[in-house]
Amino acid sequence: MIHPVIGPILEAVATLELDGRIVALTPDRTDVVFLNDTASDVWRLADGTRNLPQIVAELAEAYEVSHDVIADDVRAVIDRFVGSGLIADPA
Amino acid sequence: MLIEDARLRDAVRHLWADCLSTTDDEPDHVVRVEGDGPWHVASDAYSEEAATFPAAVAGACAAVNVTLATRTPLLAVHAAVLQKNGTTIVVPAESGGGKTTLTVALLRAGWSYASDEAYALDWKSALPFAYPRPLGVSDWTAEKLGVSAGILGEGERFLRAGDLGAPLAVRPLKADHVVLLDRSAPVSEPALGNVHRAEALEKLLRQSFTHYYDAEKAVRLLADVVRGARTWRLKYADPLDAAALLSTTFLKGQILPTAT
Repeated sequence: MIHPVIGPILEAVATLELDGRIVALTPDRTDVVFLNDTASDVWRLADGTRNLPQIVAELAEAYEVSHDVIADDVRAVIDRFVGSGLIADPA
Repeated sequence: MLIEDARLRDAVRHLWADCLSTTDDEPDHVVRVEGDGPWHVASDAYSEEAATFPAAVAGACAAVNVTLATRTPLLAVHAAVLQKNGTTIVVPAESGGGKTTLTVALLRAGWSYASDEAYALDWKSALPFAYPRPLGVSDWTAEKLGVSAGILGEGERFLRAGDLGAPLAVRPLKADHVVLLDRSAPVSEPALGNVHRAEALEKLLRQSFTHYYDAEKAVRLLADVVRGARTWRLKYADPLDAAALLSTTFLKGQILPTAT
């Protein structure tokens, strides 16, 4: 199975970082998305060079947990990025 | 404000004296009150018929407040702003969220008044402005905090901070502390803990009523506010206990954990 790469963040998205957390404005500037620590880590890895299993693997190693523990959460975060118009749909 | 009724004019001018313009420039907006009972209150953003004197006072105050809130050229956030010994705290909260009650409790504790309604920033310079509107103190708050001054309204009384013996804050009003109020669960003692700056930014942004002029600029200006401040969550039930805790923590150098 071929997994598409996730990201990168769309150029029109405006972001800033506060103490490690990402705050992102949608391209149309109608919504502001506040990411928690974990979602911010996913954000930093969603740079268009990694697919979902690779992102899960990196985070699992960083958090010292198994892939199964975080895979669903990472997928949900990426779905949120897509739903908010922050990254293109990788599907 | 153009008010026909002399008694009402005197009362309203007293209440808004801390906000009066010091220039002779033509005003951008006018609140008119016609009649001497009933009263017709109107501006380009507000209209109300008042049958009683207290209702006319409340209507005139609401007209000024609504007009300013909807027409201000500033980035404005619903927040209480108080200052003591050069320390400024900003308490963003929705209407009914406890800003005025905590403000009165802090004034009782010796703090100076900047606003119980808005923290406002210039879009270009980011300079903060005070909005020392009259306090609309509920009967509950008045009884709880021993407030007997002011003009009685219906369920509330209107007064200036000076009526409580409290001074006005002096500029600059750069926020040293941003305090989020949390009364979601009953607590026997007030508690003040660190909150992530991103949470404080989200609260400030959610309480802004002019951010839509330029959302990106608003986010960046308010992010600078929280970057320059310490950010806290205050859990409390009793406003007097909360005011005492804020005074002790912010003014006497009590050491608390670094924000995370």
